[in-house]
Amino acid sequence: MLVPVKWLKEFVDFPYSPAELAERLTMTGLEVEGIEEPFSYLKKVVVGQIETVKPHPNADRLKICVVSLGEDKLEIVCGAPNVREGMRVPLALPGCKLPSGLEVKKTKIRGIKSPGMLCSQKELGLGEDHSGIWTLPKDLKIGLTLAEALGLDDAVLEVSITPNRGDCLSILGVAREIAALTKQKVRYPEVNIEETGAPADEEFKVTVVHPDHCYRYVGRLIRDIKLGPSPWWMQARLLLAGIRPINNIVDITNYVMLECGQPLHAFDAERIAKKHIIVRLAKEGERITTLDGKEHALTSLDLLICDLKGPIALAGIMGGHNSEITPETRHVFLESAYFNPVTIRKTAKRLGISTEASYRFEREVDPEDTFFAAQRASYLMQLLAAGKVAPRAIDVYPKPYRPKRVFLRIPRVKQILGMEIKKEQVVDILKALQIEVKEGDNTLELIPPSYRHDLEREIDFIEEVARLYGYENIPSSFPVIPLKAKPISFAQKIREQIKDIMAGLGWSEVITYAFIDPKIFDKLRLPQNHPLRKVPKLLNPLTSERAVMRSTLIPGLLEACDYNRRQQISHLRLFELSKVFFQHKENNLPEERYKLGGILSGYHYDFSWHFNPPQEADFYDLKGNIEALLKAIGIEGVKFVFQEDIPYLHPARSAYVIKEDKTIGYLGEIHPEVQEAWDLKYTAFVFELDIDALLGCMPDQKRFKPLPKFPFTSRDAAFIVPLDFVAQEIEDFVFDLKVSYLEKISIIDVYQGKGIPEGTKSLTYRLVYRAPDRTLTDEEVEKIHKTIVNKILKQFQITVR
Amino acid sequence: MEEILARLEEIEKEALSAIEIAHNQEALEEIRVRYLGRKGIVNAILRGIKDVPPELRPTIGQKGNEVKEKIQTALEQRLKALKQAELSTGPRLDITLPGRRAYFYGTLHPITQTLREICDIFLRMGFEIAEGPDVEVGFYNFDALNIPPHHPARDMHDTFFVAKEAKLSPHFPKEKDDILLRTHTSSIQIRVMKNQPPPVRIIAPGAVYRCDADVSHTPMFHQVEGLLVDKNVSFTHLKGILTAFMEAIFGEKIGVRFRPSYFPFTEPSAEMDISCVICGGKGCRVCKGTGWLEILGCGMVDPAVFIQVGYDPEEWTGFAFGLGVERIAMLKYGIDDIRLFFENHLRFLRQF
Repeated sequence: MLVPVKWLKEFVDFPYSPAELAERLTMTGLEVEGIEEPFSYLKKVVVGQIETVKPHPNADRLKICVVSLGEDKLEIVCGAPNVREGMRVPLALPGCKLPSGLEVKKTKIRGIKSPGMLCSQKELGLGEDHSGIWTLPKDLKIGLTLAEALGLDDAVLEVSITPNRGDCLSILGVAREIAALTKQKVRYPEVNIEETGAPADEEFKVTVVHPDHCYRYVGRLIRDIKLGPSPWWMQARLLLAGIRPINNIVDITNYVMLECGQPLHAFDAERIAKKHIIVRLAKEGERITTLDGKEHALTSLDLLICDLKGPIALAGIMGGHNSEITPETRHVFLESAYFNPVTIRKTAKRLGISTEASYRFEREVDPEDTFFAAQRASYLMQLLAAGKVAPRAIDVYPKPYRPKRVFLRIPRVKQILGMEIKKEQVVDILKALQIEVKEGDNTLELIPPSYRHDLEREIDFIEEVARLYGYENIPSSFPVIPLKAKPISFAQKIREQIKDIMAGLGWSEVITYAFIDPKIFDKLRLPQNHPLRKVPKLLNPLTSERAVMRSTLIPGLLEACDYNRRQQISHLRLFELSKVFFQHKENNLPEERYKLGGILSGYHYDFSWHFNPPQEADFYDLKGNIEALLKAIGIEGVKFVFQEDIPYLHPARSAYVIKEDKTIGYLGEIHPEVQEAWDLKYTAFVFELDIDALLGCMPDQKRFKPLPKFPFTSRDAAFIVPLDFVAQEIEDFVFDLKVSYLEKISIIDVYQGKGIPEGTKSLTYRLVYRAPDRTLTDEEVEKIHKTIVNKILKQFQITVR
Repeated sequence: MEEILARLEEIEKEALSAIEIAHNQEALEEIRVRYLGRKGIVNAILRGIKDVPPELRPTIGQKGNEVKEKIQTALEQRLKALKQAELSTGPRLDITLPGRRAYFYGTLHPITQTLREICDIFLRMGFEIAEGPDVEVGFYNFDALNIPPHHPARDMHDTFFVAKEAKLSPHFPKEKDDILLRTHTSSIQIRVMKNQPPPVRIIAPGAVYRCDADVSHTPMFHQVEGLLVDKNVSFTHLKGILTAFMEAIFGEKIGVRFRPSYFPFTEPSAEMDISCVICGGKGCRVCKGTGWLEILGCGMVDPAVFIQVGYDPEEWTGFAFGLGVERIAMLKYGIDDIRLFFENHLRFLRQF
């Protein structure tokens, strides 16, 4: 909310500069986000009077005006048609920066010096009129700056009001806070109505059909108003508070709303059919056209102000087009009401309208203040629009305000705040907030003022005490905490460890958005019924590109890869460890699983003089990293088997990662179509491992195996096998033989080409032998090795190279 | 005899000076053969010993051995020196060429690093880590935290809702069994308290989501929620623990202040500010000239929340806080655009 400081001073005295005031308010909970002087440029605009108007010697359409600024006189060149002798005008002096960005300078126009510029209202940012130079009212003193003359030379505080403090959405509300701080009283604005004519309640009738939605409705009739612009002091204050002046009647309703926090609405009294106001809920499908010309379809939850013909206002939100004030308006029916905040909020949210009025009603206005606000506005209409206020306000108050009574236990204050504040001081603070206090021994009986809807429970009052006592005056201390604390969980520990290992292996961690574009599933070639498509969908996504939660980390990784490609980085290894989501059953919370995913693309190694020319990365770069990771977290005996059912992977260059018949993840080259869809420069290789599955395979505790005491002996064996023969088969076969003293078998060479028949390849294995209790002799090793090789040859029907 | 001894000394001098000027191993070998070889000069002289009276022979023998040893030592030393000289005068590697490595170092995302730092500080203070679902039931995200439907406080949370099969209620905003993306990790508080009796001492890190995207907002970001519930926990403790945290993360010199604010699930509520880390409190663009930066929201747990989870608010008191991880990371590293965290530009990631 924008709070002009001088306006504030009308209601309460304070010894602070705007900056000090901002600091004090901030420290009591009304955060001041900024201090502005929105019209400071008007300090370089002065009120002048045109003494003579002479023709410009070199231009027909230009004139030279001699402008008196009191003691000084300036000759200003001007092209506007309306300049006249005796006219009071705004003169912008050199150095003045107008809202359009134009800076006024000393210039020469067609050979004549012009040390300033006469301005239109629009050029000064004070209205829409651009038909000519603004004719200022005669009561503005010549020589004063326009800022001063119009009352726009004020600092404005931008105060952020928390949702619980609807009572501070007014100048008086902020003044009350200052008064509580400085232990002063606020001055309420003047009301001095002279009622004339027939009483309002004889002419108009108000019926509240649904009192649960409208607790109070006050109406006043003001006859014979003279519509016109409001006086400048009022326009200035509205402008400072960020509201555009319109005409005196509308301005008065806005002015009183800013002053008291009570939104008001002025109807054209002659446009209320049968002079009967009915406050009721809308009928399903009923329609209203609001002042802004928009038509709304309503539901039975929306509250309306109607006359006997139908809706004339959307209660608490916006007036109807059919009852608004027009230049023909003669009589005004003024509404000041208390509407149920939830009712207003529901309608405002559903229709997507937020107005100054709805904002205040949603945060609750003071039901006891509706009458005063109506009085104040009526008085201003009498004063500023020559209105005649009809006797007797209409005041329908079906649900009268009942003061709340709350007990505050003094020891509870200490329990919550951790320090003792003396009872007298507590009483003092509460009284300064206009809370009625009845003192008991150790308890206070409290009645908050009607505008403080947030004060309902003991704790609410404790907060008030803390707030005004000053948080800065409450000491800091440490709680006594028993040493016993659970260590972080195994899962949390391993997740962090995995990230460290990945970083150690040269992978950079990314964090991508958890929501993705559902179209990505098509790009990933997933069939319509694929389980990865069963994801939570957002009802109100920001864009269609972030409309569903992800079921896999691959899209985010591809996106990151693509983003980097556009930054000329195509050689990379990125990983992410995060959640994915599966919506198994509608209306239930989805399943959330942690996954580790990664993407690798570019070369085997970083480009350098050692590896020049660089060689493009392949499947084995990825597999080697996965093997290293698994080994590092203690998972051994993992198998890699061909996969054929992951649609976004190359069917001949990808695998499932299996541990004891359980799939814990997959890895492989991205499918060429997917590659194309993302337009990646190099072939991308991706993987995903399920963290829960990994945790399930991890040993609870690593166990020590004694180190060998005797040396090993190794023998190599090379076999000629068909091209599609899988190396792992021989290893598995040998492993299953469970030969004593065979410690390890590993492949050391794969060869294809000269020296072996076409359509075959040669696989060379190294077999390592060791006995735990002695050094094996050559003869022994030779015997075992021969047996194994023969068994292999027989099993696979292959030959030795 | 005197003559032989003098001869030996002369030989020694001669040999030592020859060694000193020898420039390579071959020259040294030549010297060795010449002086110390079986047919070498020293031996030749010693062979003359038979012409010397027997009682004088030991003296000469001793002298001869001394000379041999000296020459031998000198030879060895010179050889070592020559080898050393050869190492430094031989061909040199271009040690300025880049080293050989398979792959550059990997990095952890700055958010991960910041989260770890935050969590470590609280873990050392005896807090435990709690987790909860990202996709949450409205009840845990709002109602149980004392944010009823249609409360203006919901305006502080632009919520992403998850579509449900059931026909949508026209009564916007939604009811408490709505499914949504959590807008804060405060929802975890409720889950923890519903599942365990007090005392509670947790921090809850995680991703949160708000329907908001501009220069200073991303629709996903990270929070750490904290909760301490025990007997006799008070506002002074809230100030103590959080001040200690800020000092741990931004350094002992950081200034802090607490000012009243509003959160439906805490009362009294506070906003914690730190002195601007950019200008040191003098006032700059980042702190909008105030010298202070808003860093976290906190407060004493509202009794209504305790009643929701079945704790007796007369017996137990506590405080809660929530801090934005991106905010802290931005201030710590001097990052001026929150969106950088989620673009995953490798040149950005590698800076941390």
